Amino acid sequence: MDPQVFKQLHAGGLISDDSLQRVEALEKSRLFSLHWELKALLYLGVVLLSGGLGILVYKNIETIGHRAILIFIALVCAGCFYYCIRKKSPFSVHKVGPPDAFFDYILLLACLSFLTFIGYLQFQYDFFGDKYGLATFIPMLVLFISAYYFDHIGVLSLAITNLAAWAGIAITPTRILKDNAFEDSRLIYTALVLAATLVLAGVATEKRNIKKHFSFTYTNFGGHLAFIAGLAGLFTLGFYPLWFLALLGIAWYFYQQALKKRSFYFLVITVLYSYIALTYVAIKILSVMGPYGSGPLYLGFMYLILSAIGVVRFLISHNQKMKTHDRL
Amino acid sequence: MIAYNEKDLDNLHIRDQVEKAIAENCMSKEESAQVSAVHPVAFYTPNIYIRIGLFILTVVIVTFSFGLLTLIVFSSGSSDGAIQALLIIAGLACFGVLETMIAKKRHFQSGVDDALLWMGAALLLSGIYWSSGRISPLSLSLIVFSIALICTLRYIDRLMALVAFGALLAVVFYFVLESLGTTGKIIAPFLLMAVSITLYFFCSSLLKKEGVRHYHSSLVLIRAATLVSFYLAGNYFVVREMTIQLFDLPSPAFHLPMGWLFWILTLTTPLFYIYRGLQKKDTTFLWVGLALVAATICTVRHYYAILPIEGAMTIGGIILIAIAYAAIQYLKIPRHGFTYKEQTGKHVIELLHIESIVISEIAAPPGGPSSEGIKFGGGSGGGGGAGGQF
Repeated sequence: MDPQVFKQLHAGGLISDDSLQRVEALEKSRLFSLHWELKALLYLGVVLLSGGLGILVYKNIETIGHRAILIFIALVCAGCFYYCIRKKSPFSVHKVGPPDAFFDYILLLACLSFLTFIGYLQFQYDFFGDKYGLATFIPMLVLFISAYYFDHIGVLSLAITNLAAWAGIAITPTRILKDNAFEDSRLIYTALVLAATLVLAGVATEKRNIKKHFSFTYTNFGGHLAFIAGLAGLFTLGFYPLWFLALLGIAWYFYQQALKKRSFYFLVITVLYSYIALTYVAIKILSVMGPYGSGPLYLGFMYLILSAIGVVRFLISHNQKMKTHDRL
Repeated sequence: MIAYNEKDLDNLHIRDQVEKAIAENCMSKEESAQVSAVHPVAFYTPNIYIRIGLFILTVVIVTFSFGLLTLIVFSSGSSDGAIQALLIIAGLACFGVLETMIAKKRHFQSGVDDALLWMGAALLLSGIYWSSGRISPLSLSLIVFSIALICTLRYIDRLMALVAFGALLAVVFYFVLESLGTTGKIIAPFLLMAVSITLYFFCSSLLKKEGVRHYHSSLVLIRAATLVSFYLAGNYFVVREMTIQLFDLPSPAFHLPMGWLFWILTLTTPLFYIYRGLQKKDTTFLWVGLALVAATICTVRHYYAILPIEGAMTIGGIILIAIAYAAIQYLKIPRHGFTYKEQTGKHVIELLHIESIVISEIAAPPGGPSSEGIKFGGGSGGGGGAGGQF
């Protein structure tokens, strides 16, 4: 805060003596926070250490042996979980803050080393054999339980990505488009079912008031997955008018939700995904008119410009409407 | 000089301050309402997500408008210079629309004005560059500098200010090369360091001036950039590679004259920045210093690989964790004006749960049943100890 501004306001009679004094007192005693700096150092240290140890193990695997490594990972995992269980604040269906600065990271380490342990077991010893599903189902279960038991949104995200992997879908931001074979109709339907499940989970989380703050994570994953699966259906599966209608349905739902919760984030992603679908259909229709010379090409450009202007106006007017209670 | 209404900019600053005061419980809602009534802000500045959406859509509009224009011009048959002229006209048109949006619709950091500014500058620059044939690097940097400087002054855009600063350094660099020849090549690093220092103090003195208050954040950013450019101009690796390039020397055998000086600069500059940052409680120095320590480590390792990479990573990791852990424990109770406690006000990172998304990305499980089991050590795969797992 800039005391000069408040002195001015005070001189103009807009704020009381009391307020001015409070601002000045606070600025005088202001401490310099090294929170993010130290957190960044800690992160970097953990990344370097785990990376370095990883390479060390990788290079010396012959002398160390797989069993020793497995035991080591299991020990790390067990130790971390032990720490978390001993330290955790009592369970509540509402938000519970971490008991100390390291709790969240140690829980994360516990969960990640558990994932590594299961993966290693399956790779080296074929522990689950052909029951591949089990190798993702068990970690998923553990992750969901940990997320709720210890109240950790990062672990919840991990659990959701594991749930998706169990269903055969890669769901993380960089891989959702790259690693999924969206020509496969089964994958698209699975994705839609999964998306619906996640969105419902988000709704239930709020309705039942169980860990309400988890709702955004569920809805965020579910929303993006629903739109991307819908668009994949539109692009690859044929019957595009039908898919377009389905997408409009999805968009309508998220539009209503965005208005209800005054969420600019969901409003913008809904609008952008819908715009992609609309543009695809428009170009599809224009390309049918191919034989009529360059007319459709001009029409296409005109459509893109005018429609984009339309969407800009839509966003601006909605921003004004929702502005009264500005939130996420 | 500034396109935006300056009264509104001032009021916006007051409102920001009041919002901070409310977050810190220093004043009441009624007082805030009073302040808002006396200091109205007429800007249209939407929420950050709307801003991103509007930015994307405006880029779409400008791109396809330009496409349509090109289509019309070329279908009626045209001469060679047409496309260049078209680029310049389109660039100027962008600025025209930008001015109207600001004046009539009161857009300020709305995504629309950001997009128009950058598209306009890019179109204009490419038009000029293309139509001027083979242009020297010096003239090119001069053109970039002029456009970026005008845009910075008129539209108070921070990123433009950074571009202008980079272009200015390029101007100095190419100027000494072209005018002084061999001497220029030798003194270039020292000159760039001198320019960085001068600009640092210049920005610092400007920051104290009331008249340039609307450029405050641009100046802060440029000041951080001068710290980086000073370091880079004196960095052993940068200077050595640059000298080899400029004098066309054989790379491995080359011994840099006055190498010791550049080694001293490489090693001490980041430490000085961190020291200064802690001493003056200056975030800019601290962050730049921390980042540059990493650059120095990379530089040293490039020439003297004392440890194999895994050893260096392990030891480095342990040292970093130890320092961070000790500092966090030490600062649990505030000491010497430092604290580990977060400042009030929610960070964007928290609001969007970005941390959790990053975690899920890095530690993602493998693609699904179609991939044959879990691959060992495959980057982001769930298996094995290889690769940074988190």
